[in-house]
Amino acid sequence: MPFQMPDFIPALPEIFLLAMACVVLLVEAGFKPKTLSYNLTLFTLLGVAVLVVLSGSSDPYYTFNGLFIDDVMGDVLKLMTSLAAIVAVIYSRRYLADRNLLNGEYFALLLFAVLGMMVLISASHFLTLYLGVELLALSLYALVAFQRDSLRASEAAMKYFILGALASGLLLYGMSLLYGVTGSLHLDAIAHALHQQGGDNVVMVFGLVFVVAGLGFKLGVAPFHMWVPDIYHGAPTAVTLFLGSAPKLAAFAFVMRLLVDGLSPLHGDWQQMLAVMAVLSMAIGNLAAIMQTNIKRMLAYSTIAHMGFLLLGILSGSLAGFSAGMFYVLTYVLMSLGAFGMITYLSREGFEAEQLDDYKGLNSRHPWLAAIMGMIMLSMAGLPPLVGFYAKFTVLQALVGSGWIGLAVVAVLFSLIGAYYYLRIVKIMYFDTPPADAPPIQGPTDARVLLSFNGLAVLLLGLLPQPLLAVCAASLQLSYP
Amino acid sequence: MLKILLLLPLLGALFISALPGRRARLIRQAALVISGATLAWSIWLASAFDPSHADVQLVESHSWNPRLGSAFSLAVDGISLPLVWLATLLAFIAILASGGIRERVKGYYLLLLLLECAMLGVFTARDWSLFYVFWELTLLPLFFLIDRWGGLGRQKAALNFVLYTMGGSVFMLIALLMLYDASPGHSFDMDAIRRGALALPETAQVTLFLALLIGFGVKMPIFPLHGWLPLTHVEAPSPVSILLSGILLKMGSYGLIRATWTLPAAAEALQGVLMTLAMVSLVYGGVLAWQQRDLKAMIAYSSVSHMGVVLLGVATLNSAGLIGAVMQMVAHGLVAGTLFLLAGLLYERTHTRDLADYGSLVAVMPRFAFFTILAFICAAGMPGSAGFVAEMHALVGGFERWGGWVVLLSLSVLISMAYAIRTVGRLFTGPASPRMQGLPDLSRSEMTAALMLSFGSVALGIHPGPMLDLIATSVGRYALLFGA
Repeated sequence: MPFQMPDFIPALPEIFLLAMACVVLLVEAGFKPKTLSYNLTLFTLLGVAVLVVLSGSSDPYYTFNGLFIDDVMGDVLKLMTSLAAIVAVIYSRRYLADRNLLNGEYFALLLFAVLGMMVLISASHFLTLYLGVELLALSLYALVAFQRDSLRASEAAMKYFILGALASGLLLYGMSLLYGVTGSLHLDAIAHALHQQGGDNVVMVFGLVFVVAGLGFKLGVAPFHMWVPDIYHGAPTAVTLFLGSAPKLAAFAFVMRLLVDGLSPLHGDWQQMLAVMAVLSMAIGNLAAIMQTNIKRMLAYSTIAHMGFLLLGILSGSLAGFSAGMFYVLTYVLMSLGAFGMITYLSREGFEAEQLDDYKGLNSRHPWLAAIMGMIMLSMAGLPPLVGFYAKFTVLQALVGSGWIGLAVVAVLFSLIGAYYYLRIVKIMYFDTPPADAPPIQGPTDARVLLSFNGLAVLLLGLLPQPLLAVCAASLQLSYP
Repeated sequence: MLKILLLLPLLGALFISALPGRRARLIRQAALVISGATLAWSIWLASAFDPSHADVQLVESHSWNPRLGSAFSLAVDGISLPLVWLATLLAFIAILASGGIRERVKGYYLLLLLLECAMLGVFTARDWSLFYVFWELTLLPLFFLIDRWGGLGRQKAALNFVLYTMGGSVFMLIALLMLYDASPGHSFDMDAIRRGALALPETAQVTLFLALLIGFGVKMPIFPLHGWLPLTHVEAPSPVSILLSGILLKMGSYGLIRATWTLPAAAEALQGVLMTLAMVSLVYGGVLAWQQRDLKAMIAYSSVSHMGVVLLGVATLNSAGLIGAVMQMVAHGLVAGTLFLLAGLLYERTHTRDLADYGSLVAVMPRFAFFTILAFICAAGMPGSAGFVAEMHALVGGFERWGGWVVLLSLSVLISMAYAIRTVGRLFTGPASPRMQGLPDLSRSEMTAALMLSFGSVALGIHPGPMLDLIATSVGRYALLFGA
């Protein structure tokens, strides 16, 4: 077979990102100024965003012999991934500098993680899928352990690594079973083969179970959620901020590629698994979050609940449901960036603002920041007119539309329980008296301005969710004609 | 027209947020002017409204989120217009009565105006999703208002209130989503939803109606769902109690009336259930009010009883009963507003709400005594008050439907008379308490507020004709659905 030159254009953002990640790593060795790698990282991510927009095509397009797909859904997710990474980098600059972590290795790892996400988003083959997952995961293990002298961070990284490796094992085992049944690693070919064989094959269902379990680990949904609170809590807040934002977009793409592109003929089977996982996640996430006194842990449990809610959108199985899921994950990333960004902003040298008590009377110390945090919390709780309400609303709309009314009732009841702990934070910020020795809050202007925009976006998208909803619906319509 | 009604308090809140926080007097005056302008505008709406026309009027519709099937559409009819007036009037009164608020004045008035905007939105929305957004939006300002400016148990009360209401409204949300799914052309427009709902099988309609009943019943409140009410009313700052019992409760019954119109078959099927719940609320609320020592708790429980009259009126599903229900909403809004206003003023002066602590206040505060006694008389539904007209209609409507059973309504009137007289006795007669000497009587602005509300009650009682006509025209359309 003659060698055929692949079309590199669709993968231009990834190629650029890889090259620049290497540059950032090299620059660290040669130059002293610490801000160079920071600026270079921002430039890279911005470049990636521009390239994603420029290289996008409106119809799904395969390259690299079918290993790589470029579609509108992927482009939107990649664009948002790079933007989320930019925001996360800006939020975390001072935090990193205070802890002597602001160096090229950190940013190189971060860029490799972004690369992993982008490969994952564009995967159309089990190999690329796995490659993306592992690149992302390995970079994240290292990032979690980045604060070398922190015992808690090292422990978290260890847990993350072991459970992550287990999850990868499950995923690979499931993939190998599916390969055995269908004779292909290509997602489209698998879907085709499964369609031809019908759904009554024990090996096939076994493969599906393993794949979904691996997926559950990576998403962090119950009953595979054990690592989430420990990692969120143990990692340096700047890493938690990154970990809790952009990778969620990749996780959404992961589910879509694997279950919708590859295993859609088995949707009757995976729908039920997702339903169980979603209900468990919402139950465990929301109930456990109530008991937390550490805000990072609390938000970790809330993430589990949110990911459960996201699964509801996907399991409804309709295009409306997928688009609701995409809207949900985009808005969740926005809120998560804001919440963890706030924790990062309020932390100082030698002080982590991670106990709930640290937020006591925030309103009297800094009313504007309290207002932003309050909006984000109320949005996570799903109160109108904030964007979190519409995220839940669209998912429920899709769920009721496909007849899962019982699940919708369960979902709203658990989000009601969730409202309790979000409101508690608002209460703490507004109605408790601040500790007497609380120092004045000061932080870099760029992060503060960005946080303000972040908070206002939560409100503005809540008042006018139509544009973002339209983007989600249009991108899915173009990607799944 | 209606857009301006919503924008006035909203822009006013924005304006206040721009004022410097130290200028408390200026902020208070600005809030008064804004809510006064809103009140004036709502009255001005009457000039554009044709009372002989039954369908909704002053329709405004803007595309909002077509992908979600929701539109920003507003309109009023003879059922919602009186409630709009009630809301703007009570919001003005509440701001007038807020002179006692001394700390964080800016936030307080800002939240009150936001609350007013949300309440008006509920009564004017013609799109169920918009209705729901405004419905939930009322929670935010109330949570802060109660938790920040309330009494000792305010934190528990605020959280209790918000979670209770949200718990009810999630059922409403699911019901609305299911109705949306059934509606032709997938829209939340109230008319489209109704067309879809009529085509549903009756069991589905009944289920949906029950879900809506839970959502609205928490707010009203109907007997088993009233748990949040005493705590919240007692702990809320008095001006907020005025709005809570005066308007917020009416949102529930207003929603219920719209629900009977949307799902008439279900309303007919559940008529007996509604009637039973109404009777239980009537008697239970009354008996509990009788038992209270705390003045605000007493008024709060009496609200349960009075809202029972509204529910009874709705349950009759005939013209007289529905007129009674709407009229009772207005009447109770005015009366409960007056009572909470006066109770708040008394608390400000005495710092006690225990009925046993008062005595012979009539000698100390004659003007206060006059308005309080008048309010209690109106609350008990004496002839000449708006409450009498309302209860009369509900009674007639109920008699048409169930005959002698409505004797329970008379029983509850008797109970309310009993606790009214008991309370008046405790407040104004008996041994004079030495602690209660030298209390200042009502000031001029307090007098104005009390006078406006009492005048409303009495004027509607003596000359109810125009209001009844206004309500009857729109209610007639509803009653036709049920062949009465």
